[in-house]
Amino acid sequence: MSDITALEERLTFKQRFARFFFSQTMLLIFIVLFIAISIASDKFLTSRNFFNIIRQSTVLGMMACGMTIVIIGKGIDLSAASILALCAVVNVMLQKYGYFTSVTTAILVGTACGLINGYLIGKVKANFIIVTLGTQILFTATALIISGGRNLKSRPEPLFSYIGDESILGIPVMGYFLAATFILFGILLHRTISGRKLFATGLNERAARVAGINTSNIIMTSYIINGFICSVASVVLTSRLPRVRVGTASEYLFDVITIVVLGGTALTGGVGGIVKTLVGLGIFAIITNGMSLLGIPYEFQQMIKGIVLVLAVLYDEFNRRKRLLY
Amino acid sequence: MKKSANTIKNFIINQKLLFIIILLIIILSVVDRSFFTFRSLTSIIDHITINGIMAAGMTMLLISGCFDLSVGAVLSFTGIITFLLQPYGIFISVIGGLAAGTGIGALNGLLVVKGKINAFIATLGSMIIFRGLGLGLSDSTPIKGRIEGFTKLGQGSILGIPNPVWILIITYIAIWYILKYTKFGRNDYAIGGNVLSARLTGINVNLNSFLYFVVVSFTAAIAGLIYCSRVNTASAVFGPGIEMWVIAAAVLGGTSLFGGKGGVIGTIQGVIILGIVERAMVVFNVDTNYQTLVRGLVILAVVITDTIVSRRQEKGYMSESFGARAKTN
Amino acid sequence: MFKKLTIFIVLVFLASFAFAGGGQEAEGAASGEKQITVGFSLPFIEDSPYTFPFAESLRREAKERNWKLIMTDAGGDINTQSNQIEDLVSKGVDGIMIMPVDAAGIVAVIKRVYEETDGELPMICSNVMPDPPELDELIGFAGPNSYLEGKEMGKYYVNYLRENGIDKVNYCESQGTAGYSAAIDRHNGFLDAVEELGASDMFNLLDTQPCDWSPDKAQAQTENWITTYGDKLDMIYSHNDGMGIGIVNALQDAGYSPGDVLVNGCDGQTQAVEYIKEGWMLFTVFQSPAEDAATAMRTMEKILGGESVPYWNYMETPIINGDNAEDYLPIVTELWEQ
Repeated sequence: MSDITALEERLTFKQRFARFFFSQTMLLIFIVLFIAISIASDKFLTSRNFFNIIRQSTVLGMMACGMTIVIIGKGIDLSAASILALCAVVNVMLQKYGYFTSVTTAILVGTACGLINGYLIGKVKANFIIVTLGTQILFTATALIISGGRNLKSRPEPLFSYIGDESILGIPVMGYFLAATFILFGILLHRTISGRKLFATGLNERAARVAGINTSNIIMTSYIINGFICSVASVVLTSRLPRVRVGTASEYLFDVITIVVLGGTALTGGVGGIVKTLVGLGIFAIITNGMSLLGIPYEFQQMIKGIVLVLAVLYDEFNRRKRLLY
Repeated sequence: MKKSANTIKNFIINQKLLFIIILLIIILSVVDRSFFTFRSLTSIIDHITINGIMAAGMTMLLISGCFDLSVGAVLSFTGIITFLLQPYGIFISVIGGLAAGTGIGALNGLLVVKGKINAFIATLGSMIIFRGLGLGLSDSTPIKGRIEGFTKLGQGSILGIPNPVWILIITYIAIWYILKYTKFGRNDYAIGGNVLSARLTGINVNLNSFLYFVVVSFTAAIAGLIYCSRVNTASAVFGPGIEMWVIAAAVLGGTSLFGGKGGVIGTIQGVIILGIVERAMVVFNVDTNYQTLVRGLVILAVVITDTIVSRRQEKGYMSESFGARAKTN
Repeated sequence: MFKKLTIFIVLVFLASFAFAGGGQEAEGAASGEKQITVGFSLPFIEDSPYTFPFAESLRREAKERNWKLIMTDAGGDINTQSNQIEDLVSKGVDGIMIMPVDAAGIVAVIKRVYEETDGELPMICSNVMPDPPELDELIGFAGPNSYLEGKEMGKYYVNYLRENGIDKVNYCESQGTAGYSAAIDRHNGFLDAVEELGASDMFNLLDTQPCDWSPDKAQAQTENWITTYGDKLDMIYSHNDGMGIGIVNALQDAGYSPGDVLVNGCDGQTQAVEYIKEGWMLFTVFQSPAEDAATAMRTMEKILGGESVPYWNYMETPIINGDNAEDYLPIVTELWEQ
């Protein structure tokens, strides 16, 4: 019953109201936090700080877009951070052949990783937790073996570090990347037929299939796209950092999932959106930045992140149950 | 009935695992004669106690269709609380530590059952919280043990058998008994099989599910006590990644990630196999760059096969997971 | 059905071992002589630019001596490491070198192994000292002295400030991973040196955060420090080069010039030495992982040869600063960028 209602939302223009109302819970939290942190730290509202926030959250934000798509299709990609690491390693190692070559190869590698995931999950229909868990280990190990476990120095040509270091019209270039990603994914998800098919698949795979949607293709594509965006994110990452490490993976993964869930996209699929993820990213970014500005010790930062995650999801559940006609 | 079919299938799986274990021992002994000594073989058992005890509890939770990512955090948190309470005497410190660890399980249970949060997110959240809290309480520094007697737990032995092994044996017998002969245990399979049916049968799904989380954390807490007593230190970073190892061992033993089937007899064999893998890496002198890969491949192989097996049984239906069955009100 | 399962698992298992196994095969022991086998227990292999050249150096040294070397990777878990050490004993190695995951936690297994082997099996610790540092069951320690390094760094800063007539600095500290002995030692060493030199009131600590030896964390943290403290920030004390590099990156991004904020490092990585030449970093401590590994192997060689060795076998950790950066550059380039 509720499935059909939710499905209708996705298909009719008018029901955007319902969606907006829904995302408002997180938006509210965001606004409250924003005000609180501004009061607590006078350094928060500076343009320098904002640009810092943008720089610090671009990579996570881009990955979150990809993850949103995968999760809406009722899946998850636990290998996302490993793809990031692998592509970064590939990129840096091939830099001596020229920036264009290395970046293109890295993106190809990332998309290929997404293809592996997508094929196993979409076509072979293996369980997505297992597959992405396995590919996570596989990709990390590959990155480790290729790089020999050592730090790789990124020797960015001026063009390359352009992304990480420069600004256009005063706003860091990374910010443009972030914005472009969100706009692109937003259009893809909410304004195309494929996007709506994805929502349908996530809500009820059987019904979608019966309705004529090629669900295995849709799901496979979602993973491929995620692999692609992770590889692009890795290019941004390597331009910002002079060194690349394989080890950054697991923290990124949890952070990305946290961001998506914070935004209100449910892990059970079929519900969510890019705008929501943007809000989630906002909450996550200002909390992280705020805690750092306030000099909160690292241990408690982790705890707070965890508590925020749990509380946010609880609140979200609470709202969801109120909304649906049970 | 589905249940007796499961039991037969489980039995067959059990035999296959035993076969694998024997095969592995033979292969490894041939490659390296030092593998087949009494000391060497018994040390494998000694080494798997911590993971094994945790796996027993995890099995119980897995059967009901959920899993718990926070067991590693429970392990380290229990240790920290225990060691922080040591000035008050061994009795209080152990009880306090166990209570703290089990308390995390209660929290998880509440979040999943009452808060209706996905098991994945809930236990992920508590893992982050309690690792962080552990860091805070211990000031990011490992805490040294101060009670000499406490090390007897992890390092002592009775009648020549190390204490942790005794605890392992007792735990497995207890959980085996519960799963097989008590209503509580049978409810486990029912809930894992089909939540709606279980509820309609009159089973208090909420209470039972809640208790399974408590059980997992309790076993993890005990494992934490043993762990910290073996190294006589407590630290918030202990046990990184142990949750995946434990889940893999249970799945290898025949417990399905989707719930409804499995048992501790299989789990202990899964634990032994993984323990042999760890040893084998030293025997074969596996290059350190590849050790992670090997661990990963083994876990991957295990879990993919489980999927294929389960999928065939469910005839290609894209199954629910993450304990999302909590949403099926 | 289940037969396939069995076969599949066993095949993967064997395949992964065939593929990855056989690590260090020496080029044939001399005939008639039993080859010496040593084990080295590493705490982790990922996550660190240090362990790769370290492991490479170990392999080289073992090959030179025609030893068989078994290395284990504990994945950051002390319990796994304890188990692996016991496995090495089971395998029957002639000597064990240990780089502990946790300084306090390693004591238990060292004592256990000592008891089991009646003290016949020599063990040394490498790179990280156990806690307590002096153990009867341990033959000795080989490696850098993180505490002394911290002190050297503190001393250097004090001397520099005094020489340049600066009597007060506001500084932030970028620490290594919370809970790890190297981080704790370098933190304490610094403070102790400052106190011993009577310079405690010269240093005003604004903030200290663990940046996990990681350049990206240090970079983000420095950006936030710049935002919070702005011009007040005079100096950042970093526990290693990795973080130092991230710090310099952030300073560059923020439009600072070399020398506006005093930064240091530790390890002697190529980029750091280059930064010293350019004036972004004041100094670093050269801790060569290759030398670290070689020291351990040399010590073990002496022990197995029957020589008596001192308990403490420290390696040289000279300071690289503006004066000698040029000379060190080719050395470090070869070391880190293999």
